[in-house]
Amino acid sequence: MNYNDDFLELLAAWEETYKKGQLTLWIFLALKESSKCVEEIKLFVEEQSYGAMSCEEQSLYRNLRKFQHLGVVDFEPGKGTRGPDRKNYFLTPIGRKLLKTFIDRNITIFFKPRISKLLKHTSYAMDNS
Amino acid sequence: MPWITVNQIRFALTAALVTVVFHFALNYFLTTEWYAGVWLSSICFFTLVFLSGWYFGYKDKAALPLAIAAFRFHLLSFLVFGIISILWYAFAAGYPSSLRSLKISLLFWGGALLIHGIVYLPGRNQRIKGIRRDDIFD
Repeated sequence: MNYNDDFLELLAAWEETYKKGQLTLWIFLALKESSKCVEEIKLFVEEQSYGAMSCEEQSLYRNLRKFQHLGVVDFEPGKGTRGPDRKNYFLTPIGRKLLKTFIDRNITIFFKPRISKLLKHTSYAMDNS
Repeated sequence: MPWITVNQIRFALTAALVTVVFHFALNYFLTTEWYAGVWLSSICFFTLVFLSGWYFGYKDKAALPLAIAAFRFHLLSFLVFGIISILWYAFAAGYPSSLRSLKISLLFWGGALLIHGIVYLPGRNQRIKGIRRDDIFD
Protein backbone atom coordinates (compact mmCIF):
# COMPACT_ATOMS: atom_id res chain seq x y z
CA MET A 1 0.00 0.00 0.00
CA ASN A 2 1.48 3.37 -0.96
CA TYR A 3 1.30 6.78 0.66
CA ASN A 4 -1.74 7.83 -1.36
CA ASP A 5 -3.69 4.68 -0.47
CA ASP A 6 -2.90 5.22 3.21
CA PHE A 7 -4.02 8.81 2.96
CA LEU A 8 -7.31 7.98 1.25
CA GLU A 9 -8.06 5.18 3.67
CA LEU A 10 -7.36 7.38 6.68
CA LEU A 11 -9.50 10.16 5.22
CA ALA A 12 -12.36 7.76 4.57
CA ALA A 13 -12.16 6.37 8.13
CA TRP A 14 -12.11 9.87 9.66
CA GLU A 15 -14.98 11.09 7.51
CA GLU A 16 -17.00 8.00 8.30
CA THR A 17 -16.73 8.73 12.02
CA TYR A 18 -17.13 12.49 11.56
CA LYS A 19 -20.31 12.16 9.52
CA LYS A 20 -22.03 9.96 12.07
CA GLY A 21 -24.57 12.10 13.82
CA GLN A 22 -24.15 14.96 11.33
CA LEU A 23 -27.31 14.06 9.47
CA THR A 24 -29.37 15.47 12.33
CA LEU A 25 -27.67 18.83 12.01
CA TRP A 26 -28.28 18.91 8.27
CA ILE A 27 -31.93 17.92 8.66
CA PHE A 28 -32.46 20.60 11.28
CA LEU A 29 -30.71 23.22 9.12
CA ALA A 30 -32.93 22.29 6.18
CA LEU A 31 -36.02 22.68 8.33
CA LYS A 32 -34.77 25.91 9.91
CA GLU A 33 -34.66 27.44 6.44
CA SER A 34 -38.29 26.50 5.76
CA SER A 35 -40.71 23.62 6.15
CA LYS A 36 -39.85 20.88 3.67
CA CYS A 37 -40.97 17.49 2.50
CA VAL A 38 -38.57 14.55 2.57
CA GLU A 39 -37.47 14.96 -1.07
CA GLU A 40 -36.66 18.63 -0.43
CA ILE A 41 -34.72 17.81 2.74
CA LYS A 42 -32.68 15.23 0.81
CA LEU A 43 -31.98 17.74 -1.95
CA PHE A 44 -30.99 20.42 0.57
CA VAL A 45 -28.59 18.11 2.41
CA GLU A 46 -26.91 16.86 -0.74
CA GLU A 47 -26.67 20.24 -2.44
CA GLN A 48 -25.59 22.30 0.53
CA SER A 49 -22.98 19.79 1.65
CA TYR A 50 -21.64 19.64 -1.94
CA GLY A 51 -22.39 15.93 -1.96
CA ALA A 52 -20.31 15.23 1.16
CA MET A 53 -23.48 14.11 2.94
CA SER A 54 -25.87 11.75 1.26
CA CYS A 55 -28.94 10.13 2.71
CA GLU A 56 -31.58 7.65 1.69
CA GLU A 57 -35.20 8.74 1.88
CA GLN A 58 -35.94 5.75 4.12
CA SER A 59 -33.28 6.92 6.54
CA LEU A 60 -34.76 10.43 6.52
CA TYR A 61 -38.27 9.11 7.19
CA ARG A 62 -36.95 7.00 10.05
CA ASN A 63 -35.17 9.97 11.61
CA LEU A 64 -38.12 12.31 11.11
CA ARG A 65 -40.50 9.82 12.76
CA LYS A 66 -38.11 9.61 15.70
CA PHE A 67 -37.80 13.40 15.96
CA GLN A 68 -41.56 13.79 15.71
CA HIS A 69 -42.00 11.28 18.53
CA LEU A 70 -39.50 13.31 20.59
CA GLY A 71 -41.39 16.52 19.84
CA VAL A 72 -38.61 18.39 18.04
CA VAL A 73 -40.14 18.06 14.57
CA ASP A 74 -43.73 18.02 13.39
CA PHE A 75 -45.46 17.99 10.04
CA GLU A 76 -48.49 19.38 8.32
CA PRO A 77 -50.13 17.83 5.28
CA GLY A 78 -49.41 19.64 2.05
CA LYS A 79 -50.37 19.24 -1.57
CA GLY A 80 -47.94 17.14 -3.57
CA THR A 81 -46.94 18.35 -7.00
CA ARG A 82 -47.37 14.80 -8.26
CA GLY A 83 -48.91 11.80 -6.60
CA PRO A 84 -50.42 11.76 -3.11
CA ASP A 85 -50.37 14.53 -0.49
CA ARG A 86 -47.00 15.05 1.09
CA LYS A 87 -45.91 15.78 4.62
CA ASN A 88 -44.25 19.15 5.18
CA TYR A 89 -41.94 18.84 8.15
CA PHE A 90 -40.97 21.77 10.35
CA LEU A 91 -39.06 22.42 13.57
CA THR A 92 -41.16 22.86 16.68
CA PRO A 93 -40.19 25.60 19.18
CA ILE A 94 -38.21 23.04 21.23
CA GLY A 95 -36.54 21.83 18.01
CA ARG A 96 -35.50 25.39 17.16
CA LYS A 97 -34.17 25.93 20.66
CA LEU A 98 -32.30 22.62 20.50
CA LEU A 99 -30.67 23.56 17.20
CA LYS A 100 -29.74 27.05 18.39
CA THR A 101 -28.20 25.76 21.61
CA PHE A 102 -26.34 23.00 19.79
CA ILE A 103 -24.92 25.48 17.27
CA ASP A 104 -23.95 27.94 20.00
CA ARG A 105 -22.12 25.24 21.92
CA ASN A 106 -20.59 23.17 19.13
CA ILE A 107 -20.45 25.05 15.84
CA THR A 108 -19.81 28.73 16.55
CA ILE A 109 -16.51 27.85 18.25
CA PHE A 110 -15.16 27.33 14.73
CA PHE A 111 -15.92 30.99 13.95
CA LYS A 112 -13.51 32.27 16.62
CA PRO A 113 -10.84 34.29 14.79
CA ARG A 114 -7.96 32.07 15.88
CA ILE A 115 -9.69 28.82 14.84
CA SER A 116 -11.19 30.36 11.74
CA LYS A 117 -7.71 31.50 10.69
CA LEU A 118 -6.33 28.01 11.25
CA LEU A 119 -9.12 26.46 9.19
CA LYS A 120 -8.48 28.92 6.36
CA HIS A 121 -4.72 28.27 6.44
CA THR A 122 -5.26 24.51 6.46
CA SER A 123 -7.58 24.80 3.49
CA TYR A 124 -5.09 27.09 1.67
CA ALA A 125 -2.18 24.74 2.39
CA MET A 126 -4.15 21.75 1.13
CA ASP A 127 -5.18 23.56 -2.04
CA ASN A 128 -1.53 24.25 -2.81
CA SER A 129 -0.09 20.88 -1.83
CA MET B 1 -45.34 6.93 23.40
CA PRO B 2 -48.03 4.87 21.68
CA TRP B 3 -49.73 2.41 24.02
CA ILE B 4 -49.59 -0.29 21.36
CA THR B 5 -48.34 -0.15 17.77
CA VAL B 6 -49.85 -1.65 14.62
CA ASN B 7 -47.05 -4.21 14.44
CA GLN B 8 -47.65 -5.22 18.05
CA ILE B 9 -51.36 -5.73 17.29
CA ARG B 10 -50.42 -7.83 14.25
CA PHE B 11 -48.01 -9.83 16.39
CA ALA B 12 -50.67 -10.38 19.09
CA LEU B 13 -53.11 -11.68 16.47
CA THR B 14 -50.46 -14.00 15.01
CA ALA B 15 -49.51 -15.23 18.48
CA ALA B 16 -53.20 -15.83 19.25
CA LEU B 17 -53.60 -17.91 16.10
CA VAL B 18 -50.44 -19.92 16.85
CA THR B 19 -51.60 -20.47 20.44
CA VAL B 20 -55.01 -21.77 19.30
CA VAL B 21 -53.37 -24.15 16.80
CA PHE B 22 -50.93 -25.22 19.51
CA HIS B 23 -53.78 -26.09 21.89
CA PHE B 24 -55.55 -28.11 19.19
CA ALA B 25 -52.29 -29.98 18.50
CA LEU B 26 -51.64 -30.49 22.22
CA ASN B 27 -55.17 -31.77 22.70
CA TYR B 28 -54.73 -34.25 19.84
CA PHE B 29 -51.30 -35.54 20.91
CA LEU B 30 -52.30 -35.92 24.56
CA THR B 31 -55.47 -37.77 23.60
CA THR B 32 -53.56 -40.13 21.33
CA GLU B 33 -50.76 -40.35 23.94
CA TRP B 34 -48.09 -39.54 21.37
CA TYR B 35 -45.73 -37.61 23.66
CA ALA B 36 -43.09 -36.89 21.04
CA GLY B 37 -45.84 -34.90 19.30
CA VAL B 38 -46.39 -32.91 22.50
CA TRP B 39 -42.72 -31.92 22.53
CA LEU B 40 -42.74 -31.22 18.81
CA SER B 41 -45.81 -28.99 19.01
CA SER B 42 -44.26 -27.11 21.97
CA ILE B 43 -41.06 -26.51 20.03
CA CYS B 44 -43.06 -25.41 16.97
CA PHE B 45 -45.13 -23.05 19.15
CA PHE B 46 -42.03 -21.46 20.65
CA THR B 47 -40.28 -21.16 17.26
CA LEU B 48 -43.29 -19.65 15.48
CA VAL B 49 -44.03 -17.11 18.22
CA PHE B 50 -40.34 -16.20 18.47
CA LEU B 51 -39.96 -15.77 14.70
CA SER B 52 -43.15 -13.73 14.33
CA GLY B 53 -42.01 -11.57 17.27
CA TRP B 54 -38.67 -11.13 15.54
CA TYR B 55 -40.34 -10.19 12.25
CA PHE B 56 -42.87 -7.71 13.64
CA GLY B 57 -40.33 -6.41 16.14
CA TYR B 58 -37.90 -5.67 13.32
CA LYS B 59 -40.61 -3.76 11.46
CA ASP B 60 -41.56 -1.95 14.64
CA LYS B 61 -37.99 -0.87 15.30
CA ALA B 62 -37.60 0.39 11.75
CA ALA B 63 -40.65 2.60 12.33
CA LEU B 64 -39.65 3.82 15.80
CA PRO B 65 -36.78 2.34 17.84
CA LEU B 66 -38.44 2.23 21.26
CA ALA B 67 -36.17 0.73 23.90
CA ILE B 68 -38.97 -1.22 25.55
CA ALA B 69 -40.32 -2.71 22.29
CA ALA B 70 -38.70 -6.13 22.78
CA PHE B 71 -40.10 -6.36 26.29
CA ARG B 72 -43.56 -5.38 25.04
CA PHE B 73 -43.44 -8.18 22.45
CA HIS B 74 -42.43 -10.64 25.15
CA LEU B 75 -45.18 -9.40 27.46
CA LEU B 76 -47.74 -9.61 24.65
CA SER B 77 -46.86 -13.22 23.83
CA PHE B 78 -47.10 -14.09 27.54
CA LEU B 79 -50.50 -12.41 27.91
CA VAL B 80 -51.90 -13.89 24.69
CA PHE B 81 -50.75 -17.37 25.63
CA GLY B 82 -51.95 -17.01 29.23
CA ILE B 83 -55.40 -15.64 28.38
CA ILE B 84 -56.10 -18.13 25.58
CA SER B 85 -54.86 -21.06 27.67
CA ILE B 86 -57.00 -20.11 30.68
CA LEU B 87 -60.06 -19.70 28.43
CA TRP B 88 -59.24 -23.05 26.82
CA TYR B 89 -59.23 -24.78 30.19
CA ALA B 90 -62.42 -23.01 31.18
CA PHE B 91 -64.43 -23.80 28.08
CA ALA B 92 -62.89 -26.84 26.34
CA ALA B 93 -64.58 -29.79 27.97
CA GLY B 94 -62.45 -32.88 28.53
CA TYR B 95 -59.13 -31.16 27.82
CA PRO B 96 -56.55 -33.79 28.69
CA SER B 97 -53.77 -31.49 30.03
CA SER B 98 -53.88 -30.51 33.70
CA LEU B 99 -54.36 -26.99 35.01
CA ARG B 100 -51.29 -27.53 37.19
CA SER B 101 -49.03 -27.84 34.14
CA LEU B 102 -50.42 -24.56 32.81
CA LYS B 103 -49.78 -22.84 36.14
CA ILE B 104 -46.19 -24.13 36.14
CA SER B 105 -45.67 -22.97 32.54
CA LEU B 106 -46.99 -19.50 33.35
CA LEU B 107 -44.92 -19.31 36.51
CA PHE B 108 -41.67 -20.12 34.69
CA TRP B 109 -42.54 -17.87 31.77
CA GLY B 110 -43.52 -15.08 34.17
CA GLY B 111 -40.16 -15.45 35.91
CA ALA B 112 -38.35 -15.20 32.58
CA LEU B 113 -40.42 -12.12 31.72
CA LEU B 114 -39.50 -10.53 35.03
CA ILE B 115 -35.81 -11.20 34.43
CA HIS B 116 -36.15 -9.75 30.93
CA GLY B 117 -37.72 -6.64 32.41
CA ILE B 118 -35.08 -6.22 35.10
CA VAL B 119 -31.97 -7.10 33.11
CA TYR B 120 -32.64 -5.75 29.64
CA LEU B 121 -34.80 -2.67 30.11
CA PRO B 122 -32.59 0.43 30.05
CA GLY B 123 -32.92 2.74 33.05
CA ARG B 124 -35.01 5.89 32.83
CA ASN B 125 -31.87 8.03 32.63
CA GLN B 126 -30.69 6.03 29.60
CA ARG B 127 -33.73 6.84 27.47
CA ILE B 128 -35.71 9.86 26.39
CA LYS B 129 -39.42 9.35 25.66
CA GLY B 130 -38.83 5.63 25.40
CA ILE B 131 -35.89 5.81 22.95
CA ARG B 132 -32.37 4.90 24.00
CA ARG B 133 -30.15 8.00 24.10
CA ASP B 134 -27.66 6.24 21.78
CA ASP B 135 -30.37 5.61 19.19
CA ILE B 136 -31.66 9.17 18.95
CA PHE B 137 -28.90 10.84 16.92
CA ASP B 138 -27.32 7.74 15.36
